[in-house]
Amino acid sequence: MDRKKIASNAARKDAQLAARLASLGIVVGFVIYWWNELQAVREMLELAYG
Amino acid sequence: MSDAGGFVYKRSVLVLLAMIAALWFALSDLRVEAWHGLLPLFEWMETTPFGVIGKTWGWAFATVEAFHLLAMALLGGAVLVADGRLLGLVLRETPARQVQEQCHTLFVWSLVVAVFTGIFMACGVASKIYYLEVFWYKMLALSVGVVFAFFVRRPLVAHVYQVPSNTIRLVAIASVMIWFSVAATGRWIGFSG
Repeated sequence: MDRKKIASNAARKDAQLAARLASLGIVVGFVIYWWNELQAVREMLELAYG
Repeated sequence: MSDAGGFVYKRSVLVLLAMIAALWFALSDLRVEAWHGLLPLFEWMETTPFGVIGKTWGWAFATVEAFHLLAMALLGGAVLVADGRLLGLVLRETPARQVQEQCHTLFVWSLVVAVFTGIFMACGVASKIYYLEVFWYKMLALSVGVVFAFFVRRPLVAHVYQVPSNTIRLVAIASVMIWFSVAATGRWIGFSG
């Protein structure tokens, strides 16, 4: 395998790992944020309407 | 992080460092200090010509807002089509690379319009949005979305045919989640205050 191909494979693996890390971070952040927002709205509705 | 050939995984290291820095910033007092430090900027924004026009003429604000919403709609459409294609839900007959390239052009132009019109609108209501928690969440989601789109998603899509489909799907889902958050928190600003 020539150097160019090795570098291209490594760049692809790097892009893949970075994408997995960032995507997992976003998914976790999204779930935590919207879960808290929905809980806050639920509490407000309970306070207002019982 | 490096492989057997000595290749350093720069992008992955940067993503990991950015995530650690963001977590540390969110949990430290620096977040509150930075917020206090930004007050003079927001006070100044209201005194700029944009701020004066936005506050004085309601029709000017509404016109710019219309373009902002159109740009957001285009941006949302570009994200949904591009990520829908990666998930295999739409345009399955069209090559993935072609869909990604065309959607990216639309995404970039609509993002530019949304950011510029957004700055104009922010100047008009700077003292209101400064105190809205949801505005800061929108800015956070927007920043993450832009960095994710250009620095993470695009380099991955360049190798779309060689990357495992579960990674591609995870990226598409994360992309939809982050841009949904930008749009929803933006809508929430309208409901607040």
